[in-house]
Amino acid sequence: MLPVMIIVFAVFAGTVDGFLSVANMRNMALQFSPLLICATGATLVFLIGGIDLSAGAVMSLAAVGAALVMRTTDSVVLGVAAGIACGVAVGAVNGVAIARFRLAAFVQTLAALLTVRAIAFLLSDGRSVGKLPPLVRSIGRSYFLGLPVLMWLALAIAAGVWMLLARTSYGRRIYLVGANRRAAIFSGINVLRLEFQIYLAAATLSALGGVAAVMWLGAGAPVLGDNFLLQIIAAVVIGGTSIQGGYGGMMQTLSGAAIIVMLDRGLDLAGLAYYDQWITLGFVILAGSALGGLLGRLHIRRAEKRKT
Amino acid sequence: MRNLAATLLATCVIALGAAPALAADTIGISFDKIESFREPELKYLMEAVKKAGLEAEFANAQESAQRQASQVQGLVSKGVKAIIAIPWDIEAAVTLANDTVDAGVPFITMDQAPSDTSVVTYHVGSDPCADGKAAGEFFVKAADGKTMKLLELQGSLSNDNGIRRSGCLGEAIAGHKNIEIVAQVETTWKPELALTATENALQAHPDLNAIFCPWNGCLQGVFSVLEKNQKLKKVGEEGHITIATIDGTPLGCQSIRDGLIDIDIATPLPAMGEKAVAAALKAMKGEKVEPQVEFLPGVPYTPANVGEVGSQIWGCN
Repeated sequence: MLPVMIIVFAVFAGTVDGFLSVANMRNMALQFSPLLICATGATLVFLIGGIDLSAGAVMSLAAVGAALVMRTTDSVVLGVAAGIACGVAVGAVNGVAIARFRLAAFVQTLAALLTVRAIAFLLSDGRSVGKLPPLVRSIGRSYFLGLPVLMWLALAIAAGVWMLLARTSYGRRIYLVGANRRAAIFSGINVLRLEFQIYLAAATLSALGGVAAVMWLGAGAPVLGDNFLLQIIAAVVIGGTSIQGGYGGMMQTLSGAAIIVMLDRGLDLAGLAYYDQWITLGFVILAGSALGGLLGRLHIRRAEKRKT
Repeated sequence: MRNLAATLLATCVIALGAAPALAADTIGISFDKIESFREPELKYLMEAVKKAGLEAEFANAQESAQRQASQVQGLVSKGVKAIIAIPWDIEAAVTLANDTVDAGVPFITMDQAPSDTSVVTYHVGSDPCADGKAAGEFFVKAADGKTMKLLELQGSLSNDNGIRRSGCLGEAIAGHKNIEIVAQVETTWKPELALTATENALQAHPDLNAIFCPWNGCLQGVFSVLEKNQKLKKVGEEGHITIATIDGTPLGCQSIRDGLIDIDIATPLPAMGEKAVAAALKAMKGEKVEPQVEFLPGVPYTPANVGEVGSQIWGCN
């Protein structure tokens, strides 16, 4: 998806006034951060051939939990810890249900989506939680080397997961479980433990994404994650990670998330109406997938030619 | 491969065209969503913008605080001279207002007040308390000391309009023991929930004789239940259920003209748009906007006076 990302960037840079401005770049970086953090977790789940529909709801619960603790204790650290704890709790339940009790991931995480979202509403009485310590806004608006601190956090997490997948035996096990679960079992991998760990990690990362969104927006709302689930899944799928598992990775998700954010901001700046933007996004997904497929086939053909 | 990439690039460029730079006096308009009530709100706001000789750039957040934050920051980065926003998240709007004002751009909110109005350049909205109180006083007058069993449909209790319309209705009828609220149901402004709540209330209380509908959008659901139960009677007819509502939309006005409801309290949309734009103009010149917060009471109208006051009601024109 890298060529599509470059094309999208080039089109907006050349046609949309203000797209290349520093303010817009920073704006996109802020929007990109929580999306990339959550999509990193979703990538892990997709790689083992699973799905996590509760990602958006976990974001909401973590955002509400973190904001409530921050407002009550005036401590950002405790708030962040509370938000992450929400993710760990949901991830543990998902992991046990899917790995230990063999519930279908779709069913378990759908149930978690509904339950967790309801808990977020109950905790907050359905209201957005604001009036947070001033440090929250300071962190959300802090920059290091010209980029938002939240963006550095997201990139650090993505880099860590990339290292894990590309450079460690644990990463290779993840790919093998996704590509062929039976073979993974026969090769001695503790698949159940790995699945548990992946669902735990995914929910924890979704929670961290929710906390990052609180830092950005200065409030935690129980509806915060409602619009995110589709974006998270789209970022992973547009990137090119297979929904059947075993193929893909962080670089793909990075470009997928970047395409979504650039389209969102670029089309907005170009003045396209909301639903026209969705039509364009659909077109780009189709065109991008076709291009990705074509590139893949060309790559295989060239490799075969080289062999002969 | 290169040909394919070039074709895709060219297609995108042609489709988008070169987005023009902003005109000198352009303001940014950010709505929380677009639906049947926001459409006329936007129409009147755009009319006021045009009348003031300004240009406007519109963005629809479609019920997402993140999207609204990005859009407002995007509008600021494009160089708009002021922002007029209807916030989706009233808490996140405080951060958004602080960021925008810090960037030197006036931030005006309309209709939906942020949780702290002291951070915005100016806020103008309808007066939800005055409207709720007017509806409550109407019920007291309509009951005339007789027993009234009232179903109170509520909007959303997570926003200012929903909370204060309900609270001030309650204050107006408090102390009138002949009026009993038999059910209070939060609908989160969803017509289907209003329909279900009316159905349930009518089953539990067949002698229900009054309904408070806090926005015109719930009328269709209420009418449908009443019709099904042969209780949809015109004002003055035997068995008529007293209905008070708020908004002044075309549906509200038609219902008044048809004699199906007793009172509608119309939100002054044209005045709200004009005041928001006037405040933006003033702030753009560097002048202080006073008062900083204004709540405009609605215009009550009934089947008896819709002919006279109809011209003041936006939904009747």
